[in-house]
Amino acid sequence: MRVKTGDMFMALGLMALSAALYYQCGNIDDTMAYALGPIFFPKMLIGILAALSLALFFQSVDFTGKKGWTAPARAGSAHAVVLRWSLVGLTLAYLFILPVIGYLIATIPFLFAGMCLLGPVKPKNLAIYGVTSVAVALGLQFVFATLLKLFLP
Amino acid sequence: MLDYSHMFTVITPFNMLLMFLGVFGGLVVGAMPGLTSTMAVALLVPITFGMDVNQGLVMLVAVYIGSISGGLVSAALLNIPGTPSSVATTFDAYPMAKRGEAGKALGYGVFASFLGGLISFFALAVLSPLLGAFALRFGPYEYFSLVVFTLSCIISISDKSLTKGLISATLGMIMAMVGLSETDSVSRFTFGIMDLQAGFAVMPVLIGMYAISQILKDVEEIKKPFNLVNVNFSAREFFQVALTFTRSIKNVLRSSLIGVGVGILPGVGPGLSNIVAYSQAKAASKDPDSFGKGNPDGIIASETANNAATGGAMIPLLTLGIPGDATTMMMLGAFMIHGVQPGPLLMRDHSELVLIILGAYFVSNILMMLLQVYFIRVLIRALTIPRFVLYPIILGLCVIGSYALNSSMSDVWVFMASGLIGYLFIKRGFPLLPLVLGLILGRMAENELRVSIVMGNGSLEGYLHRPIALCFLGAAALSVVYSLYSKRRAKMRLANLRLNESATENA
Repeated sequence: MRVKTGDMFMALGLMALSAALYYQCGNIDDTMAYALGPIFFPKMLIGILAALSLALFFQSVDFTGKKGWTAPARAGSAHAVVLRWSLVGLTLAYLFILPVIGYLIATIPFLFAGMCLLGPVKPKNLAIYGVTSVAVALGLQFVFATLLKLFLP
Repeated sequence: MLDYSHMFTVITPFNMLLMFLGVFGGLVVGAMPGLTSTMAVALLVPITFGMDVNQGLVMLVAVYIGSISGGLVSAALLNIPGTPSSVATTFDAYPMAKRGEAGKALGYGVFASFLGGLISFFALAVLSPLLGAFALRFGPYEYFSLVVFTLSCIISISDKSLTKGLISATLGMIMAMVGLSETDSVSRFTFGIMDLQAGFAVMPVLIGMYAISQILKDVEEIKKPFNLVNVNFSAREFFQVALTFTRSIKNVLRSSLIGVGVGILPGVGPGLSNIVAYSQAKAASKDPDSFGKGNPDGIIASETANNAATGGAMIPLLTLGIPGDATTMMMLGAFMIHGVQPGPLLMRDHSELVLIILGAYFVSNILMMLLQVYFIRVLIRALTIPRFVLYPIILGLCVIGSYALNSSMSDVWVFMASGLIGYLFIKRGFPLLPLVLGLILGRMAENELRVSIVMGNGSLEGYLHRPIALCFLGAAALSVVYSLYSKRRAKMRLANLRLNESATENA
């Protein structure tokens, strides 16, 4: 018996989500039910999701060993994984500090740190990153806040 | 009947400036490998937030036209399609560029893009009012069936598993249920969070799904520089190439028709039209062996079809309010931000807006050609911007764009969460398009189904007496059955191939 672990975990996660959403349906006020009420369609969708998750669960298991599964694609290098999740972490940090310290003060270091994280870190590059970060942050502020009169954090 | 003279109101100095900037921005983003036309619209939509409806629509259309055409540059010079709509362009444009005829390759592509866009403009102008008038007959039965048909098409053409496509669509529709229900104003799945009462804003979800997931996917190759082919492209060479198109009229017409036809189909759009047109041009050619080795007809077929598909994809968007692909979905979200709800009522009650879109479509196509002829060097320079500089800027722009929509950090968090979910889905082989389409069409499906059941006194029998609805439901069932059949056939072929291979090895 072979198992596609990723698909199996996704199926289990989706089944748990279906159960949680079904439970949440109990909190929906349906006393003023008109045209089948507000729960009918969500419950139908949740039922479909649960059934499909179950199907995915069974599809993720090769009971007979005869399914013509090809070898899974090679996972990315460890460096790429670190890079990817560091970028996510950096963006999350940016989102947390954005409303606290404001657009300009948060964006310039975010852009600079992002470029340093993804690109080569040499003195010449650092200068380019610095100038680009300041120019882009100021440019965006000019376009959105001054020209288009939109609010920035 | 539409008064087409109203189209010319689009020609004002400010609108021309907006279209210039829109087409140019679209071309630059579309030219960059990895940044699709969907991303171009996503990145440039926030700029339209502060504009009035007409200006916003004009700029959005310009961005759309520019972004589809921009894919040509990287396809010809890097052998990497800037957008999926330019995949077939690489087959002949790059070999031509490699043998020192990059200017010619770009010339063929640019003029073919212009012709494809022009023909599709006429299709859009003629077919939209007809389909719009026809769609006025649609009621809840027809609309619900149309949603089912659209979703089934998108799920069945995805090369991923049918189960995963269905899961994506269902999840998208469940996401659409969050917030106050439209029919009875009852709060659903908000988990006590006030900001969720209005449901998920479509744009932050779309921007997150397509921008963050793309950036996270590309991280591994972010430091690799592109190998650019040398190019010497002049306006004179372009006009010389344009004169040779008299030999390719059949190819242009065939590819345009394919583009418009494929573009109208939900979920297909420019991404597939270029490949279909390319294979048809090859099949019709007297010298099919020269395809893939720098045959101009290959470039003409691909670029004509992908630009023609833009007009095709706009037809169901404008007349039925149903987006066909991710880019038109982004356009729909942007239209709604400007208070424009595409559909038959838009055609009937606000035809001036439709005419502005048509006018912008026409002018943007001309601008697209002129910009590519005279500013091609700037586009080529854009290809040299390193992605490690570009991607943080894109992230910053997306954050600002998501915030600017409602001046709310909640939308920014929705953007981030959608991006991470989108990345997880891509990694696990779940298609994104059904998910976002489910989010956009979910509420419509619910409302129309509920009303149709009430109209039928609690029964679904009414569907049996509605021929248009039956046609849509039948087509939906057929598309799913065909998808299952073709996947099964592909599996059997693979199994036979393996058997033959092992037999040969044993022998």
